[in-house]
Amino acid sequence: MDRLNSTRVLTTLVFLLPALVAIYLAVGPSLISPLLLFSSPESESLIRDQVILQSIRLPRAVMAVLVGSSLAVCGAVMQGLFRNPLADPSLIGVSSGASAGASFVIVFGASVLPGSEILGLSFVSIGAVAGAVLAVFLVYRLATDRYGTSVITMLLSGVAIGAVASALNNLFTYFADSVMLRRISVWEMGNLEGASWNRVAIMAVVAMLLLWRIPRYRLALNAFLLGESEARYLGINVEWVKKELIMVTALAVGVSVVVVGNIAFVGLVVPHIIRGAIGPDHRSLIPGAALAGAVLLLLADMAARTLIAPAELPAGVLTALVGAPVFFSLLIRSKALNNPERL
Amino acid sequence: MIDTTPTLQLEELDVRISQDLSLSNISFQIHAGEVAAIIGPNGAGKTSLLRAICNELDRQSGALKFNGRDMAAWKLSERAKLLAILPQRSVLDFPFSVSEVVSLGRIPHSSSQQQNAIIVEQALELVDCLQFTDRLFLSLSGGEKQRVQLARVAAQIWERQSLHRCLILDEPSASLDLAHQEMIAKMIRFFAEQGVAIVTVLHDLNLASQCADKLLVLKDGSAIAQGRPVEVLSENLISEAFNVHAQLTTASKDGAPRIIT
Repeated sequence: MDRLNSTRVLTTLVFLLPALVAIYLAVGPSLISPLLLFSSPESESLIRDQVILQSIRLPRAVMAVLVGSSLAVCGAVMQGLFRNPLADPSLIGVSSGASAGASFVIVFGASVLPGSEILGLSFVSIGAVAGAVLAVFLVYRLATDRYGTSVITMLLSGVAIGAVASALNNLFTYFADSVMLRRISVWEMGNLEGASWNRVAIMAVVAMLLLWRIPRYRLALNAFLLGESEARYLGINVEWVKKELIMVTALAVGVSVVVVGNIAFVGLVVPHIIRGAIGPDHRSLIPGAALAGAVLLLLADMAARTLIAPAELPAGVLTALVGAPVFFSLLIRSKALNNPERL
Repeated sequence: MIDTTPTLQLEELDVRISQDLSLSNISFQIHAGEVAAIIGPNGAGKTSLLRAICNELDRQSGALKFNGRDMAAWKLSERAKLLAILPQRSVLDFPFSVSEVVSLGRIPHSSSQQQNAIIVEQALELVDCLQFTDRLFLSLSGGEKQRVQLARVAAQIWERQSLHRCLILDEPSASLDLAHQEMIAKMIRFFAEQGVAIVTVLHDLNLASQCADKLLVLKDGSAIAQGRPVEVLSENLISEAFNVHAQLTTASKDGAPRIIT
């Protein structure tokens, strides 16, 4: 069994993350020392650099850390809950629901609603949260009867609700004019360009909630991997755990879609990589995924900002472009390693 | 004073399983240190009876008590310290090591990590799997996986508690070779000697006759006979329950009847 020592991996990530944040802050159209944040400069150019750090690069870096770790933790939770290493928050309709909600507001709301914002969030964002919550609520209702929530039915209804949401999304797009189309597509690709301190604060609240609630279920999630009945036999209140985990992850993913759009593959690939490195025990998998998710999204956004500078790529497109092949190669390797008879 | 509360007590239990099958009027009790084997043909409701005991099926009437308290009144986390259940088959698709799988059995307990590690090792030794400790669970054969799962439920009820412990096994010997069927008998004796009550579904009538104090014969959801193996097993009963003509002999060392078909 070739596994890495989990303490060593976690320690490495803990030191890697701040180092990476420092590099992220330094790199850009102009090279700026991150230490400038802690000094009070005199010269005009230094003051300008400090403003760039404070109001552009730092909120964006913090946003990447918060969103990356939230998405990765939600992915780990979903994969544990569904006992399926290929599960991902988008499976229960969060992302497609959010997209449909946002498109709806962009296309039909523009004439009715003023362009004003609430807490730095546009009405488009509020439409997205509503769409995400509605989709998850429907999926959950469809899969729940008096005997409890069936995980399999939830996966299936997630696919169905996702399909309906995408169809609605297409329908709204069909009615959109070219300005709306541009807004929809920029929104859907997911990027961290617009990270402001307001949005960072909203995401921070959700990420804190996530990192506070999820770790108490680490043993329950381990038991879940054996099966729902087995988890119950091990003393886990299965229905309660499912409900809370689904609500918290839906909220976190929904809000992350609102503040930065769809960031593909982080929730799927990161837990997968960490599980391959240190094993499936959620006691180390969850902190590992949180750290690695932050690292991955920081790297992706750094690439998105610099690859075709001065222009930018959407980070969500980049994570998908890189994530999908990485994921595929992991899948083939792990198949060969863990399950020789399945090859 | 000797505690005479039955560990597990079923009184006139009626449970609906599906449209065609329900368990009807099952009364049955088992005390600390007793071993009960449930036998019967396929589809008789053996696994459903185990699920009913774990309160997983809707009870229509009758009483079901564990340590004298209604099964539904137990907090799951308290019950898990005393009652361990091995399902017929479990699917585990994640790359846990063998020792990690067994240590899942320690989740209900708040014992220290060192203590858990000792129990995991002892449980693995009991099922003859110590050599697999660091292997990946997914790389084991079907029978080896079954033995590791047995070690997991063993670890769950390894230590004495203030109340009686109970172990429920659904066809523990199904995918095991001959030597390891012997191991099942050894494991059952090991726990029974410590006062654990054991309820197990067994396909192998000889194994059932050899290690059970009590047999419960199920057919079409009803108990057609129950009692000590010598009292219950007869050529007539086997023909009634299984539709098979068999011969019985009592030539074995322990005096338990043996079935030859």
